[in-house]
Amino acid sequence: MNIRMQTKEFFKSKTFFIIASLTPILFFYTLFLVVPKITSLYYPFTEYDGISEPIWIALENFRTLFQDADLWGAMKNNFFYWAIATPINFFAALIVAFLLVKKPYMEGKFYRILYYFPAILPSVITALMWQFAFHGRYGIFNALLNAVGANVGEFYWLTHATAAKWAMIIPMVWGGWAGNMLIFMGAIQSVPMSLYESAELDGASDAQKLFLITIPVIWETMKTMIFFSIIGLFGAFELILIMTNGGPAGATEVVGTYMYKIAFGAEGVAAFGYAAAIGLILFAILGLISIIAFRFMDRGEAIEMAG
Amino acid sequence: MAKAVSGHNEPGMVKRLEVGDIVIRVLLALWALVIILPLIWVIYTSLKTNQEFFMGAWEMPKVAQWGNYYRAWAELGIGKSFFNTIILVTGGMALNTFLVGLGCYTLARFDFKGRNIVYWYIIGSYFITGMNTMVTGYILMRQLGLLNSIFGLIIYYGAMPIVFNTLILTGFMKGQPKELDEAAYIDGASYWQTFWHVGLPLARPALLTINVFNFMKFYNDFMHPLLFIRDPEKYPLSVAIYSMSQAMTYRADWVTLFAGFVIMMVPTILVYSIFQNYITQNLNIGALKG
Repeated sequence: MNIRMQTKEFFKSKTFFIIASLTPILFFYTLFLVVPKITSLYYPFTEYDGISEPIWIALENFRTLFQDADLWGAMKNNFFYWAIATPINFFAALIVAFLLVKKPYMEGKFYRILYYFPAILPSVITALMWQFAFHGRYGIFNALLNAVGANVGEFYWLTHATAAKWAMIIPMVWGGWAGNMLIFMGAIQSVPMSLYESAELDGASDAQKLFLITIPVIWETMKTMIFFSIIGLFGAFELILIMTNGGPAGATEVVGTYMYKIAFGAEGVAAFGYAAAIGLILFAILGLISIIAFRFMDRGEAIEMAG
Repeated sequence: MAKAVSGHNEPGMVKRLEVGDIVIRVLLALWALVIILPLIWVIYTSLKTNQEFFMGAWEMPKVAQWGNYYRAWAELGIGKSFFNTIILVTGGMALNTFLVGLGCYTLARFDFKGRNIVYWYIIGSYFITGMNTMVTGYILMRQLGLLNSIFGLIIYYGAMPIVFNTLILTGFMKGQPKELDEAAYIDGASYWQTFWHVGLPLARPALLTINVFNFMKFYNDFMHPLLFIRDPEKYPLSVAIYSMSQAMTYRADWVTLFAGFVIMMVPTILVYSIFQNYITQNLNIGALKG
């Protein structure tokens, strides 16, 4: 067999097909999704403006970072939003999902579709719509408050520090909870009906059914959701970037907007090395919290099983 | 249901439950209103004149100003961005479908050494946040010369949802009978022909699912075009609307901007009403990571 024949055979072979079919996906995946993660271990130790070559400065960025009060303030805001919005998004979703699955209201089907709609709206629309809704004079938020008798006058929600900080929770929940609702509905539907039926024979109330049957059975799903909510701790800053850009006076600043400003801000100096250092710290913090959370949840589960 | 069960209890019980049901239904209806009201407000505001806009939120347009839509489309440049978005979204979907379609077919249908390594190499980063790569991703795009280019963003979109789509598609393709492939081989089809004529058509439902999600990811994406595209001529809708709203501080033509919001919502509403089932049923793993 000559070389040419062999080559021809090879192109028709299974081995070639496997290699040729996996090469494109592996190439794109590695280049665009893996390489940035690897270089995010390198740039934090450099000073890099994006134009001249990066200069190795070892731990200098981290020294600055630990003394950066703005950064830790932004991080505190991340925890604030996470601690408030996540439980709302979680428990509202759980309760509504339970009701929509278990109560045969005729409007239930329609609500499932409608409630999820804000979740698929482009975040830029959600953000701009709420930005205008909070407008002191023309916004619908004050108009609604007026209509229910709570007249706040011409109050500009997003220009008052404390008000802006809390107001941001509304669009976060408005567009954020319904994904959880659908996941909970899927999980609740998979709970065997027989469990509920025997509980009903014992005279269990709806709340008892939720806490004693549904939650233990869907606990694994809930654990996954908690895990991903932790991963999202520093994400979802688009709403803030668009609506307040971290203002007024840093009241709504989160790490994402802060990092964005440092790397791409109007200040003119693109401190990529420093921004990347912040990214690496976020990664470390998330890793730590995830590990702790999982230890904790596993123990919780063990107690539940024993009890 | 609750009524039937508590039937053997005292009558007061039945009534209490009914009151509870009414309260629940009122609360659910109120939440529906909280969702619908801002949307309706955006729609009727987009039909006002600017004078009517300044008269307050409840003020209805006396005559529907459809001209706002024309101005948003032609003068504000929504039309141009709409076109950019169409190119971006279709390009990203085509490239991504090619990549995961071919790759997942092999991962699902062939037993070969290293298959699990390849699979977990891809799936592994599902559990790692992408947040910290905002800067390094930008640096990479710059080094590759893909900044400020719709083509560059399409390339990036091809890669962006690989992890999630591999999870969905490999899972689906594993569930299909291998006999069909083997029958094709016996008929003399090559591996490529079998992939094209048997593997892909069989996976059509899963390909549709991932592309409904792809559509929403690309269409809604704000961060990447904001980072990667500088030239306003090349803005997709999301960034275009954002920059218009910034510019409106000086122009104060709010009703035209609101018409722009509505235009951007139309494709979302269309896709959601057509593929609502695909979206709400396949969400279980998908929604967890945006």
